[in-house]
Amino acid sequence: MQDMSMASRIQSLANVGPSSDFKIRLLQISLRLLQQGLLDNQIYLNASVADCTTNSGQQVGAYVNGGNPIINLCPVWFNRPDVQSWAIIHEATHVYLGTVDLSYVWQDSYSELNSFQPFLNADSYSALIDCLCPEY
Amino acid sequence: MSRILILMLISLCLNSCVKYSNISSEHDILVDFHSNNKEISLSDLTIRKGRKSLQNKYFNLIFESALGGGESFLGYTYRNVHADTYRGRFSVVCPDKSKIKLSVEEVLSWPSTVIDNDTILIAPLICRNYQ
Repeated sequence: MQDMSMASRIQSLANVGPSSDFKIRLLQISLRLLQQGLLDNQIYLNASVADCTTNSGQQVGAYVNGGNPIINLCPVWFNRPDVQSWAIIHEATHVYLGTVDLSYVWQDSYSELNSFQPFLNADSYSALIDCLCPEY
Repeated sequence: MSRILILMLISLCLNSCVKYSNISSEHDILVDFHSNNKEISLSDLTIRKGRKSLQNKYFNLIFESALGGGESFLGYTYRNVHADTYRGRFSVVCPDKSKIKLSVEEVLSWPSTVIDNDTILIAPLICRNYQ
């Protein structure tokens, strides 16, 4: 019963029809890669304030460098438990799945993504996992 | 020689391209809508990544922390999206069915007054002023 509910939630979140097995499989593979990437422990916890400051002086929460598969967590991230898991998943999809930022969940364009774009969009994975784990 | 240069350029590009996440703060505010917008009810308001409720005669708006982000190349930021400056995080449907989109920053800039130790933001006339 639990599995049925989970499958239907994944299906609706992936915006697929009941016969779209390919998209479900793609989602499963993506989540498996994401899980393995996080298990590989490539998260750097000690990014310096200087490294976490943009040229415009903005303090960022986390960042990933294009040539280095490491998630760098900044001091700001440690003070924000409400978005910590969201940020880790978001950054991990950049590193392990090669996602881009097509749209964030709070943007109008997020609800306008077509049925394949969520697979390329980092925030879609955070939203999916947040929805699958509403209480923890 | 040219291959080495190309490889160096590719390496430089890869290592200089940074994706970063910024995090907006949570804002929990009380707003007096009715003084200037008598026709607007709570159901006419939409908050993306947040909650709304009625508290006495005021609207309690909670904008939750949200992840935004940007990208930079060779230290130059060419894209920066922040959840508090995005127009559309908060929207109001007017009586004529038009939709007014506002950012969190715009809402927080409304004038305020203190009543019984609570800070109340006073919404200006929205449906005509912001169109």
